[in-house]
Amino acid sequence: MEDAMVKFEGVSKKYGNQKALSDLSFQVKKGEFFGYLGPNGAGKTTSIKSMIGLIRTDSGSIHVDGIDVANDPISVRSRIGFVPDSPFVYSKLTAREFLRFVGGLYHMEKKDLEKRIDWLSDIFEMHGWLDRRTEEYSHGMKQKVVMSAAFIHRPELIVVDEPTVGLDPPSARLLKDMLKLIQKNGATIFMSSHDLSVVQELCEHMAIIHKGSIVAEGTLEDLRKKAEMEGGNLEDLFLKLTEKTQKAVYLD
Amino acid sequence: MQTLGLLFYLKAKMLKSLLLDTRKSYLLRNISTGIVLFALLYISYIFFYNLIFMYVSNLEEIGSLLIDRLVSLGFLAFFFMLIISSFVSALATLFRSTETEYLFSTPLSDLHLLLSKYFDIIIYSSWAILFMALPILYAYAKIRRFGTFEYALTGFFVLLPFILIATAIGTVFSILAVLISKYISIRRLIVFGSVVFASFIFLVIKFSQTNQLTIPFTEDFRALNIFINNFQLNAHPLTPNFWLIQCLRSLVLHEYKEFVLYASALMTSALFVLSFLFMVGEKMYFKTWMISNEQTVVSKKDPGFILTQKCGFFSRTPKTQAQALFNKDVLTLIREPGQWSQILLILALLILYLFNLRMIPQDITDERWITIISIMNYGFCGFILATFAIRFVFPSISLEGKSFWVLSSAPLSTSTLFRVKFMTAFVAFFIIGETIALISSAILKLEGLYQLMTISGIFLMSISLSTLAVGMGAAYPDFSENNPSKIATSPGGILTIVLSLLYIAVMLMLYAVTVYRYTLFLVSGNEFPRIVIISSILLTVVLNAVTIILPLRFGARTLAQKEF
Repeated sequence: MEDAMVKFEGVSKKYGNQKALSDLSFQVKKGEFFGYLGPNGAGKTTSIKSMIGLIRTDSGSIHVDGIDVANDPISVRSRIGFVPDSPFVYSKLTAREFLRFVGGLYHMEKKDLEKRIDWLSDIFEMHGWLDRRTEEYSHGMKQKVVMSAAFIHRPELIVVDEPTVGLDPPSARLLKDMLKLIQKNGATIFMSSHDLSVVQELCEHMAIIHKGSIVAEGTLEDLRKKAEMEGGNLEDLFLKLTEKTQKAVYLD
Repeated sequence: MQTLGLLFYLKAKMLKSLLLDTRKSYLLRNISTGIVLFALLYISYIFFYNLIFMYVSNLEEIGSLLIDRLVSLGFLAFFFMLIISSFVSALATLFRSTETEYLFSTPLSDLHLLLSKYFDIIIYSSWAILFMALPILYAYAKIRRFGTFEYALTGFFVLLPFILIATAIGTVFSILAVLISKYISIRRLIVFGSVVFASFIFLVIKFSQTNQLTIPFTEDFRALNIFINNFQLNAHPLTPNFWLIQCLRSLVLHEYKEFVLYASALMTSALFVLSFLFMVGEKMYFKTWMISNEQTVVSKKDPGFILTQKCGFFSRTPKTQAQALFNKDVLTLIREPGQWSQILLILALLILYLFNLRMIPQDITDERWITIISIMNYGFCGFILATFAIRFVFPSISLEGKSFWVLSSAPLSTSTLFRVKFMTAFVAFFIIGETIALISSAILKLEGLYQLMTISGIFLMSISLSTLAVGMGAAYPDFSENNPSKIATSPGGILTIVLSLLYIAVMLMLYAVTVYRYTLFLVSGNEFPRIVIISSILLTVVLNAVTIILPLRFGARTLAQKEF
């Protein structure tokens, strides 16, 4: 039985002359909470989109649950729940209609779908909003709808891109608890984030991508060893490993 | 004034980077699009010049009159299309554009901002219509042997003010509509709009009835002329299309005093309407923009929302992917008031057309005229279907917009997506197309082969125009645009318009050749045109197979290669 839920092997991708991914290799074990870190333009979104089959890579292979994304993207997608960084939903649909639509796309049974909608609206405290059009929603509320859509079909792998952006503290807490709960129930979580404190809090395993390649991978302790640092938080590690130094701020 | 200059400078820079992008793929795309568009313009010109104007000009005594009338009628249609499209463009450009809020926060005056936006409105709303109008105008000028001087006069003193008048009227209407929407709820506005529409149709029908024929040759000429009249309101001496055709006519006859008179009417009207627009804009643009912003806080009282909530049919839990997609598309369409106004407008024109068909004298006996009328009716049905296809089906993939990630990350195949988009369009087209075909056949008393060919031809057009629009919509998606009118007039949209018109032209030719030969068989006792009919059927099958398969393949391939 395949132990890895996600496996990148020598994946490269170029946009014109610019390398987005360069011989990228790493893997995420089943049931793991995986943090994916990197500065802006490092290749995080490109790798996530490649994993879902939204971008074709130039070389290498990506397997999700043992299935080659390039050969069978539909099977791969049916195993994934995707939460994009910007929560765009159909503005003329209500949250209930949107969740029914998503359930339909994932071939869910009617009874099960309705039960899941009730459960998710309960967890995310959306009851009063469920039958209002999403164009009336705040950013945070839209984010909740997108999360619900990602969880509704009980995916084996949840891919989350910048999950806490735009969420108020209680909603962010709720999301973190929800992700932990889902992982406890056996799902694998792949989370890309800029929020290093969230990654440090939630992820047992992480990788730092820089200029399209993995510069460090493992537990927080592994990363510390790699950076030859004793103590220090993830932010210090991140800055050291990605060779970012703090620029002096001055007033004109 | 300096800031206004800066805005126009930025527009020019953006246009330059769009057109003169030297990256290989963009360069290739721009050059190939340019070649295709130029070729299509030329083919359209050849079509109008050789097949219509040359033929009509050979009709003794009435030839030139008919050409003038056809051009006048064409430009009347373009005038109304320009008003409608500038109205819609203005709503999007003046009130919904994301940059407007930022520009209002700068020290740019309201009038200058309006001026810069009005320039965009002219471009967005007129270029597609110009694409249709230019081949007609050029064919007209060619047949009337215009020189360079006449071309220059026509371009600057006739066409330019003609466009300015229509687009300024459309823009003023959009500002006033937003202003009115503050005082009248959307529901009332729709009721009010419907009443105005109904009154408009009633007046037009009443008006047309008094507008009987002026060429008293034979009963059948009378019939033909009334038929042609069905498409126009009237060549009233105070309408821009009348001034336009009088300008052209005076250039043909070298009556430059007449030309100055009618060109002055166009120019002064344009100046008047522009002054009115700038006056209204200076006083009301910011105010109406605020109103429109306040309205983005949506109300639960929207008729489309209430209707779909009460009905509940499309909100129920879907059993299949196809049903889920279909429900979503229907709900989105019904809840978008902008879409409804356009559907109502086209349906109103359809009803107007059918009412006017009834005015054709019932005693036409000459099969040749029946043939001509049935050909024109067939062409009109195709044109209506093409209009629906471009306006509603072509933008359907693009309108998934930034929410397209939902589809692209779901286990959904492109074929399922296409199948649903096609079936939704086809069912609507089939109902609309066959209804017009059946009613118009009954009114025109078309029987036998005429009726069979009309009904089966419309059926094929419903399929082919739907697949053409779905395929091309997927091949040229614009997920950043949420205005269907803008999507329809994008380069991909224009290409689809031209391809649809070409398809209709070939279908029309095949239809015309067959019914013409069949009529000769009925009238002159010629041999039954078996070979013509069989060849026509074969060619029709090939044409439709190509129109169905190629765009879908092209669209599917492009969408699969697209990275999101």
